[in-house]
Amino acid sequence: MPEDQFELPFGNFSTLEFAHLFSIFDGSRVHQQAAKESVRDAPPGLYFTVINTHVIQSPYKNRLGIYTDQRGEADLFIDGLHIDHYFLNEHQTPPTLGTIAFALCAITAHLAGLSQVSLVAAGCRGFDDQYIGYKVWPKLGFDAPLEPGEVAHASHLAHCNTVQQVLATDSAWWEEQGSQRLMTFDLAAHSTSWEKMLSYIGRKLSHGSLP
Amino acid sequence: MSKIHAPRKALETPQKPAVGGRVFKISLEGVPPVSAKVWAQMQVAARLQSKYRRYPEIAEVADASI
Repeated sequence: MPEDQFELPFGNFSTLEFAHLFSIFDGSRVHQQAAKESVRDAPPGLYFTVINTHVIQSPYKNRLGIYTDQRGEADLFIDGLHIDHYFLNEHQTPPTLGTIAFALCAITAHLAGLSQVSLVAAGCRGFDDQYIGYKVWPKLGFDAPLEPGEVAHASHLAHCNTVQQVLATDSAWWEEQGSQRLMTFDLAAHSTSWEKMLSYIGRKLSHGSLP
Repeated sequence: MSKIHAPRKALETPQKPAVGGRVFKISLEGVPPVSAKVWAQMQVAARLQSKYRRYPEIAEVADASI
């Protein structure tokens, strides 16, 4: 492991920490690119494109970036991380690799003081049905507001304002009726996002059997 | 522009790079912050169907699968 250091706006990182933050697998090439405007659903930010023909399904490249969020108080700037592209090769990687890589990313981002991880959880009603992100990413703790009138025909969900509230009430409804949107993982300590992710990891990775 | 970041907790990073290590300086200078308006535009864009857009995906694995 190279003894390099990466000086980011929110702290200094070792090579290993940098690799965890941006899910950079062994043997990858990484390109850095600044996006000074938002492009469709991705924020302006500093993006790292990860190229790895073994782990990442060809011809795709993973792309993750950091951005500064100014949605709150005028003088409060909090950095976030956006996952723009992320697609592992299911034939060349163990099924748990994505979950483990994301957990390492979130832990590193939390320790660095970042506020959230964002992405588009894609698929289902009215969208490309090859994607299952709309139902898998929330299981790892991602959340989003519901669209106006989205649960209007489901009286038992009338109290719900978010995807996580729907999941807590009727997860089968979300699998059937949920759909694509921008979602965020709240990196604050003790957030619902962490509760969901730790619970998910506990179910998916049997104790003592990690490599 | 004042800029407040949450304090960074202890990671394994040494204060200085080891001898022979390179230092990469990565800056967000020139990249505008995400305003409420931009975030709202992103939310709208995320709800549009795009044939050519490759969205982030993660495999859902069976319980206790390792």
